[in-house]
Amino acid sequence: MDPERVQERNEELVRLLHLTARGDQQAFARLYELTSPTLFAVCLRMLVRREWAEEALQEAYVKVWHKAGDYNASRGNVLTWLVSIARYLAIDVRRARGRRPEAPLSDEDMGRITDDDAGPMEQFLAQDDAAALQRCLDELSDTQRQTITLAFFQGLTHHELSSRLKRPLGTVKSWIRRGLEGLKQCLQG
Amino acid sequence: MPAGMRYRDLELQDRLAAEYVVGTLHGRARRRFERLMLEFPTLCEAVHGWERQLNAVAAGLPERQPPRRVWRRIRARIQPERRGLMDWLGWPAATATATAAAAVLAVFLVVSVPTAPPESYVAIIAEDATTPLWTVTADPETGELNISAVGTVAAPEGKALELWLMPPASGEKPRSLGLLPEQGSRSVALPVDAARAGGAALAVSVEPPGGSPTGQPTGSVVYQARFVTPRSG
Repeated sequence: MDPERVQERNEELVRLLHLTARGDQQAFARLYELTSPTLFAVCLRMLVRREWAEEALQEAYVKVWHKAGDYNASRGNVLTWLVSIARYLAIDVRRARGRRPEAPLSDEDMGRITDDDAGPMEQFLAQDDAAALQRCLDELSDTQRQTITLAFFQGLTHHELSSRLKRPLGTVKSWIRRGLEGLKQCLQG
Repeated sequence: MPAGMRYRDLELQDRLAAEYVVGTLHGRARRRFERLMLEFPTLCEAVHGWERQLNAVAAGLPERQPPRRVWRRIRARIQPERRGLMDWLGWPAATATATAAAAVLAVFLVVSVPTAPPESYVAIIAEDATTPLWTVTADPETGELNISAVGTVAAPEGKALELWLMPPASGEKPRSLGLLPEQGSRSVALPVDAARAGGAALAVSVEPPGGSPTGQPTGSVVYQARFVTPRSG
């Protein structure tokens, strides 16, 4: 998607969010229609169980309804902001509900996050951020990259990572810490 | 060194922020971090920075269409009507514990579920007509009662807020539904009374940490609400 189109798309979401903040239910419905498939994908990946993902999604949009006025451009584009809200709720649902079925590893979990067959919404947001992050992930060691992406996309805890990767807890923690430091340096560089 | 001081170290802040966004900051550390974000603006900035970088990428997952019922539930929770206010005005006197509630205005709002068949009872515990604090949803089908904090609601220092199901008749005792979550949501088994009594009343009392030691409300009642009888059609 060309940058102008991306910009337009985000402006539309900003407009809908602005109306939502003023209590416009129609605008909120449209915002939901446009963005919920992306947020549901995020929740589903983290929670695996559909009913948990539905719960997180529901809580996310109830929160968006009440907090729409909190958004500003410093939070990134609207979709990123919405994803942040959904991710935190998914993390909370995950912690509250405890164990969930193990998901098979996907490309993202293995550190491949950009997708050539991306749909319109993902292209909309993938663009530069994803490319930069992918480049920086590629610079990490395989273990650092995999631990971070597993934790991020599947919402695994340190303990779950340790048993999943069959490595001691301390090792897993240090992979994550060093990996994140590496990412930070690379993204700033 | 005071506990908060460590967080002024920008490098440490950034590392914790990254783990917060990734999700590997767990349990009490996660809750503590959330509190500190209110106190240290630089912590928020660090979190927002990582959100912009990482969550932009999470949004790149292939889209998945959620079932329609999710939207119906969301809509049911954001469409409060004021119906029933008059009923409410005459109500608090009916419950003995409510007499302690003088200081706080309690409001209950009626939620309609226009299209779907009535799935559940809903009560909104609110500060006033425009400030909902918790939603309480009773789903007789699953036997679950879900309590969700709408925003972040802090109990008074050193106290906890406990939710009670008020008895339909005098002479019976309130039943504890547990502590109210300060944020996020919590589910408990739905007491049988609540499942059949569409108009059952709820009350919130201030209790010692961990909840009432006696099994009955011991502190003042600060909020009240009532489950709404589902309407058909």
